[in-house]
Amino acid sequence: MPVSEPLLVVRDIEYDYTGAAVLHGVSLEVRAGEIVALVGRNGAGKSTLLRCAAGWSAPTRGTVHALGQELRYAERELRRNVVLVTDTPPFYDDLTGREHIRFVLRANHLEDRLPAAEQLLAGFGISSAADAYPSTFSRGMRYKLALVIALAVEPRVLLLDEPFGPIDPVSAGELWTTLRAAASRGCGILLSSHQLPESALPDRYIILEDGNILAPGAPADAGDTNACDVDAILRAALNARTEDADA
Amino acid sequence: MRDVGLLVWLRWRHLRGRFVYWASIGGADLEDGSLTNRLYAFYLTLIVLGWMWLSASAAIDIAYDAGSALGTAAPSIAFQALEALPLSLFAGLAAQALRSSPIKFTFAEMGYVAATPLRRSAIGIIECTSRMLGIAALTAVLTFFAAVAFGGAPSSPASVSPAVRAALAGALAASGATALAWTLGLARMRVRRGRPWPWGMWLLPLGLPLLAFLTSAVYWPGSALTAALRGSSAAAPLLFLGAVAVLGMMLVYRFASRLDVVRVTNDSTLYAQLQVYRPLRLYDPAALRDITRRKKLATKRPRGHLPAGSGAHAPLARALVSHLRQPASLLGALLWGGLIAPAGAAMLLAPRSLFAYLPWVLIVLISPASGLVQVFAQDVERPSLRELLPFDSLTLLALDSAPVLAVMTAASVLATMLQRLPLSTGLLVLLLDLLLDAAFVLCRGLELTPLPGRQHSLGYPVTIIVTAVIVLATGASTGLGGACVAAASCVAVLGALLRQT
Repeated sequence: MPVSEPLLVVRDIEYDYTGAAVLHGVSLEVRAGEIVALVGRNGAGKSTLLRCAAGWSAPTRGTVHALGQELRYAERELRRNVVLVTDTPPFYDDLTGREHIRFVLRANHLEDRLPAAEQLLAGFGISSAADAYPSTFSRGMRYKLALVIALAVEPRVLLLDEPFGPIDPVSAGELWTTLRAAASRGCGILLSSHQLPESALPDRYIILEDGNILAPGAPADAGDTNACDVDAILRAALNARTEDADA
Repeated sequence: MRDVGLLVWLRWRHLRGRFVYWASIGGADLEDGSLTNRLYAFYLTLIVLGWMWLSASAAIDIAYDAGSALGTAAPSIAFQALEALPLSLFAGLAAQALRSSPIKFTFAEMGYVAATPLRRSAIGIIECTSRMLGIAALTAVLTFFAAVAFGGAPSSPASVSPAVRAALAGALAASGATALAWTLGLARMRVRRGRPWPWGMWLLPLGLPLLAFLTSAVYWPGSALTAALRGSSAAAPLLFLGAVAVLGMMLVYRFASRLDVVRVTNDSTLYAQLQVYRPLRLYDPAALRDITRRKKLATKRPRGHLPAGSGAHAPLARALVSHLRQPASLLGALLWGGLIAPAGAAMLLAPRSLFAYLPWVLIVLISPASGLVQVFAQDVERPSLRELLPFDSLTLLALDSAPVLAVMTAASVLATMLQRLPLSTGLLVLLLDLLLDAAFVLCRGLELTPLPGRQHSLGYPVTIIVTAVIVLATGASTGLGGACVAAASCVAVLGALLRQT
């Protein structure tokens, strides 16, 4: 894995939602070329952390820097380089799937990436359906379309919320290959997931529980843990915490 | 009959559920059998009945006064309109029934009614009766008040009886019209192997009233209705209208027996999807309209293609294709640009007190303006896509709203030309129209984007009232030129605020 400067730096962020703290002083970094998996149970704060990291939600305390600038006050040009794909991506009512891709690429003067986007559409198996409105798509197809748009823009930081949940196993394998290729081009990727494809081996795991990081930067190949078994990694981290508390 | 009984029971359960819901809004829990709750339910019933009695009495008085005030010509016009009512009702309902299945299933009914061996004729007759009762009740109220207004004062229970007879005739006429219209719809939805009926068939019934008018044909049911209204002969018109209604129901029963429930289910998809949002009709009608628009759009094939355009031209191309696919979104632009803005500018042509402008300010405040920024709203409500657009909010609003502003400008120019003002005055009025058009769009746009460092945005009522008061107050004291300067300043400030977001 190439070691480079951090693209995304989250420093001591806290986030309150209706008076209750969701994140407690979370810090993390994502470097160019690495894929970091954010693991945690439902309600651990993964989606909130991703929204704060993307600059969609302002943390109550702490800072988020992307490409050396504080994201909250960043220009639009920088924000385009930090892309978040939420677990239920929204689309325009009146543009077809293919038109969404064309519109975003043209607005950013990136028409030369249209062929690559078409390849991604074909790779995910939604090329023939892309001339319909996304409102007629299944949840998995909508997620794939959002992924194609995000990947076609080639952001420097890519944040993905549950990317493998809604999509089929074949497309999940294709997505992992695509993500690895994006990372090799210098993109930093932070993804939350309860499950990973069999071939997937993230560079790092970050385990989040109750808004706290339990195991920061645990390497994928540490100990006897199966790198793909998110469930086992999470259970091990939670057991370790319980044992610490008992001790 | 067993199936009819089962479906009646199902309807009754739905009705009971709705009644329990409304009672709970009034504070009564009908599921709770405690003494205090029953006493409260009784008290609530008395209150509601009393309120209904007083409202009905007041409405009768108002209808009678209105009938007297309208003069001698009004009754003949009203009777002519009522004569055309059954045929017009039939034409509208038949067009509706031929366009889309008259029977509509919810998702639950698809599973528990459509997919069961219940007799199709039972389904048809119950659904038709249910719809018929609603329309008949509405028509009965209409004809009752028409009879009160144009038939004399209801000073005693005996004098109300002609109006009641008219209401009964109205209900029977509406029942007949509904049943016959449903017959056509059910004939289209019957099981068949041949080609389906042409899609444009639903347009044919719309020509019926026109045809009847052109050929001076006698509207038999309409004549019977007005005869009952005049009280000329009590029994014959009622018998005739009743016979038409019974014949209609028999035809419904006959045609429903070969109903293709698969086609009905297909036709019901949108209705079933919207069913869960129906409560919004009361709480947030604008949200229901928006959901309905989106769901309807999703059922249509995309019209046209996204025009080519790079950079700033891309949002412009998107706005164009968006309005092409939803042309109704430009109706608001016509209203605001062709009527509301010119009305405000025209008011400043003559000196008035500030209170005289109040109705215009109210119209500006309550008229539906969300359509002016429909495309921009889609951008800001979808952060994952908004973040990918390298434009500040002001630029994006200008590009997204360019087609709307173009229509508003054209409408304002036309409205100014129609006023036939002297050239210099006309140009000033037009300038003020255009500045007001821009201000309306900016105020709506500002409402959608939170100010920097704050979670909330500047609400439309605040910005539009401040803008309107500044422009009108300046215009009232300094004339059109001053109003234009004030409007330009407001537009500049609103634009600067939006650029910051």
